[in-house]
Amino acid sequence: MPSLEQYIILSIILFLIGLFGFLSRRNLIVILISIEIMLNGLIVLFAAISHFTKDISGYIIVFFIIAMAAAEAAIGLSLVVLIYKRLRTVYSDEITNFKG
Amino acid sequence: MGITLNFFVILTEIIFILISSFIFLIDKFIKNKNYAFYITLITLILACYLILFVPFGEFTYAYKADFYSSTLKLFLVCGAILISLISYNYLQYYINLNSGEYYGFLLFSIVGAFLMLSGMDLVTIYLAMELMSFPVYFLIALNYAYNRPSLEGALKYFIVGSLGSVFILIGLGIIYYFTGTFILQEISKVLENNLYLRELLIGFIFILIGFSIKLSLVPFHMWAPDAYESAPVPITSFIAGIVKFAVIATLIKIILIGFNSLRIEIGEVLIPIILASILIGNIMAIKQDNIIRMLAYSSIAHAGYAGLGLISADYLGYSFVIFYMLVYLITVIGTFSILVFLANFKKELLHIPSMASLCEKTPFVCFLLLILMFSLAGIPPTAGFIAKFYVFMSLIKSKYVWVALLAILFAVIGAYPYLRVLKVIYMDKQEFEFKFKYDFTFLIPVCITVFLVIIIGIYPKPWTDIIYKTMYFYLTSLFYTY
Repeated sequence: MPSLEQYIILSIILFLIGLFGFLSRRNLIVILISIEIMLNGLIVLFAAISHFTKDISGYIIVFFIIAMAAAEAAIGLSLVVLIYKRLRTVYSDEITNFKG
Repeated sequence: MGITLNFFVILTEIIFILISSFIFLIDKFIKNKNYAFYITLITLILACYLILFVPFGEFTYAYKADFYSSTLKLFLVCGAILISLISYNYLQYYINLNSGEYYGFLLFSIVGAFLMLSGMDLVTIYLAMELMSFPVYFLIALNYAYNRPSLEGALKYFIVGSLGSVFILIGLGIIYYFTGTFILQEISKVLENNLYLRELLIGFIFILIGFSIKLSLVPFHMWAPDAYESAPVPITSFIAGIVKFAVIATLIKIILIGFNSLRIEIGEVLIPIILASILIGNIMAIKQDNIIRMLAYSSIAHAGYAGLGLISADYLGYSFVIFYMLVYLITVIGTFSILVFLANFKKELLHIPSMASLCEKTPFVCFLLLILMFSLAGIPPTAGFIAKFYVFMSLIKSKYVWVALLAILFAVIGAYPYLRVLKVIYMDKQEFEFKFKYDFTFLIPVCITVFLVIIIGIYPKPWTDIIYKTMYFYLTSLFYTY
């Protein structure tokens, strides 16, 4: 049975992987996946705290985060599909219509 | 004390959600798309009535309709009525956007703002904030029918906004780890016992990052000009006015109920952010040629001015923050309704140098624009001056004189972009054709807003009294119940 600290370390590692991908990658879909990884790290954090403190509200927010992540993925992917159709690219450094 | 499930308390939100879902369902079967506007207008007017007469109370621990939230909801609904009027005016000339979903998304976003204003725990506030911002992403992206790059603005806003929600969740995680609850009053009880002050401050700073992304304060402001420029013009006023109003009012509510013991430290954390956003917003506004981009940078600066009241860490200062955002809401709706008028009849007029000698064609509209620009710059007979004056006064009262001096200095820089617009309109000369007619849906919002700007500027006392009394009643009811 892992302890709470190990769960927290796992969630921090997941979060940092997501943040690194968010900041360094240029593909829009990978950026969306990185956001999902960050949210998953937070889900692990909430579930672990909730398990170890015997409090239910952490589990509840986990379900809310899952639903919110699904909605975010839906919006993000629909925007990316639209961008691919109209602007013919999915790389964030090639989309430079606004300056200043 | 058990959980109360009084459905009359959340009647407004239920009606809003039902009607916007109804619009989404039937939109495909109706040819004349203007029906959605009438449904929206009737809903919003009904909402005014409901907000005034719905009973106060709690719906579980998560939702509480009280004096503060109801007053602010009333302001929001009045703003939303004006925005739906100018949307109607805009959509008559941009037919491809004229679908029922436009108004449906608008209603969903307003529901999010309502839930956010009356949410009593952090989970509800987080979810309501997402509900408020998700429709806005779609509304910005909708504009790709006329302006293809607008997808880029929507994507930027989406990515930055989802990063903001991740940061809010980190803050929630830290707070949950140390207090074991999300309910604001329980957090406040933990803080009153002087437990975990530093850790909870860090948690609050993460929440503040998420909120300041929505408010476009400075380290997180890069999305604002692009998203504002790419959105349809009425939606820009929605993002700048209503979303910011709801977010900052909720921030004040979180500070008042949950983090009351930490408010001086929070003010000290905010000082560099606020000063930088005033400075950068004003300086970057100088070199913009597109007037919407200019107003986007100025809205960064205006969020900064409103935040000055948060620095003061004083209940009077908090009520002046609300007053400032109310004045900004009124002014920005008026300005954008004039921009809608210009965009309807000649899209190039949104470019500042091509506005030259506009006053010979439409002296009336130019005079109204003059008053609104004076209000944005903060020149005395208008409401903008009074709002700035009160915010600076509250800052000086709580001994932050140097912050107030710097902010006044930056406000002087900030007068330039607005005065430049007026200079181009009134003094530059060029020959051009401009045909137009006045619609009622243009005249009503702009006349109401200009009237309010002048009235608040000349006689501000009743308005500040309303807001200050609201805050006062709220605080007394809050601190004497338990």
